[in-house]
Amino acid sequence: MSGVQPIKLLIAALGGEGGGVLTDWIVTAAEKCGFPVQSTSIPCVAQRTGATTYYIEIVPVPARELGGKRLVLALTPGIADIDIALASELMEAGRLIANGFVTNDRTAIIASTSRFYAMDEKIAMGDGRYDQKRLSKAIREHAKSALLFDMAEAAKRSGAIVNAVMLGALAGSGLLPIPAEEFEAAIKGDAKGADSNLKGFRAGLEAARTRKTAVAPKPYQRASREQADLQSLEREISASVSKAARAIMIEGVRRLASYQDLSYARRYLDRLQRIREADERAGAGGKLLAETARHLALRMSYEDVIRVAQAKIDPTRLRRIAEEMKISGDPYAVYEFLKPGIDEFCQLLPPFLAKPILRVSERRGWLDRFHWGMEINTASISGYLRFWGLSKLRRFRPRTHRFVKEQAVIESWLDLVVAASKISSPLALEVAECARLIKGYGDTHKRGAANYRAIEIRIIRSALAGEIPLTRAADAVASARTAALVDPEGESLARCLAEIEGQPAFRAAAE
Amino acid sequence: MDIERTLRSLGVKWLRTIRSYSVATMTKTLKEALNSSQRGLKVIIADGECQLARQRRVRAEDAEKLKRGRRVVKTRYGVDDEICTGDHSCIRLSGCPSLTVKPSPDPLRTDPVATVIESCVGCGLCGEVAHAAVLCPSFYRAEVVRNANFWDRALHRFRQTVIGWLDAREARA
Repeated sequence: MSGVQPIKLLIAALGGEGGGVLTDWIVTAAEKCGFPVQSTSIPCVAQRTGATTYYIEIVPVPARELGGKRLVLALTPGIADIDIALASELMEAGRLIANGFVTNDRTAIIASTSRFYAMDEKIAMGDGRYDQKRLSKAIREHAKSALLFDMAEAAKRSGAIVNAVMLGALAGSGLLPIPAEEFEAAIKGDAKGADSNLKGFRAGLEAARTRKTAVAPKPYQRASREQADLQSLEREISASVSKAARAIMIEGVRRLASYQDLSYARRYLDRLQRIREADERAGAGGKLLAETARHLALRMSYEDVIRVAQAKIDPTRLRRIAEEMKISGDPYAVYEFLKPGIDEFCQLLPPFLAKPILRVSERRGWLDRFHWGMEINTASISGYLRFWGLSKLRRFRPRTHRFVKEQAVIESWLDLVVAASKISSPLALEVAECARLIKGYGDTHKRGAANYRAIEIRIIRSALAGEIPLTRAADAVASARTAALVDPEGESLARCLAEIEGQPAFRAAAE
Repeated sequence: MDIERTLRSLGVKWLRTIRSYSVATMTKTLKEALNSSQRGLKVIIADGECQLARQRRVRAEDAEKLKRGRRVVKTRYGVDDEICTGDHSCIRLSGCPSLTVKPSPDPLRTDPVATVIESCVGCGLCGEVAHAAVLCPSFYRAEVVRNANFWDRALHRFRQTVIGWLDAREARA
């Protein structure tokens, strides 16, 4: 009698995932088997700042066999005192471990590999997502046994909410002395959404039993379409280039041909010619070519008003929106949020008009003050025509102010890459990667371009002039670039640049 | 009980009631309040229903209307992953849990792009922020009319036909 210990089960779910209902189902199933059971819940915090947790203690001996004795069951989970942990999301599972509830001497964990990104991960200027593989590895190392699969995907496929899938996985794992039928009966007893929940339950059950789960569909990739007249260009590429670079260059050629025209794609390849030579000279093994090709394709297809208009009226885009909203023949409207300013209008003008307008606007502070916010319905004829007209300006693009400016910056960047490749291959790679800073629209673009200029003048050119010792140069560029992507206010970058420049020069002599 | 009347009776002179979801107006009013030369307490009543509460109410109402065959307009916001370049200024300025990131479908980009997931309740804050902060042209609002009436369908059919012609010309070009 004194040896009877309750089975301790801790559930972590996010708001809206039905953790409370899941707890009720488990309690119902346990009660049907005659086991004494108690559950408590800890209220949730919305906005993904905390999980909702539910704690259940089940005595694995039917009450009638306890000889009238009643066990005292705890209301809160204890550190290192959990037998089964259930989590609906991978980071939540990690949180359970970090809080000490999951230990590798006794806890079996069942968790979903799906992610609901936290604020810190979402707001990073580059890529702030936590390394999923590292997380999964940590979970496996810290639990006695781990069953990890994509519950969100299983739930979506069955039209159920994830709690049904969690129940199925728990049932199928055999960790509780409760037969799967009892769990299923608990769901059936619940009137709301019983059918889809049962489907979700069975999906979870199968995942637990077979340890084989349907692979989630790969996130769709939108590679540019093949075009007949590009074949000769593409053949040129395939002949003499490494595999990684080849795929990128083919994508680049297709993208630029659709962005502008065939001769623009030709220009892309011509520009890459000297990069190829630089790559071979520096012995970078094709990596310099691949990375530069990638960034060059992105830079040459810079996002201007014409490109945006072209993308907005793309029929595949409207089809995709219709699919997502399950529009089957119903009338719909798609309102685009646009707010062009003087800058955007000058993008379309030739340099002799744009330059004086921009000069005056900058001096009078009009650039920041005047923007025209609009919501244009692409599904209406007038809205569509507006975008259609803009996209037709494509043939005038080479004569626009922005085009001239962009090409000059691109050439200057390529010059830097080639110059760096003559000195050191890692430095050339870092310089090429700096193109990543220039992206986006409006203020984002201005900030990125300014950051790039700062790094170019203060670090890259110094390194090329020998003012920064070679062993530190590549590192300096990489650090500055990372600092630029830390905060939009630019404080990290300012500090990083000051640090690099402040390093005493006599160290170079010592080397 | 009227908040405005109560405050005025307590002696508040500078009082504005602003819809909290109108970001641009709200920012302007806050600046006005902070820069005002008038002395004394300045009050801004931020008037806006909690979107979660509103959703619970509206969802039930819409489900009822749909069942009875009445016209319902469903709204959802979205981000064009082709136009988004992965800067995430929009996420930094808006705390919406439905505005998150996803891997970029562009084979040349490594940074994740912004996306609006299914939990979107159509409040429009992300769009307002994109306008107020002049962010980027990636946001859109999709509206679907369920149980549309005759005029809805006729107009839509007419529009789609004309746009279809233009699209076909593009494809041929």
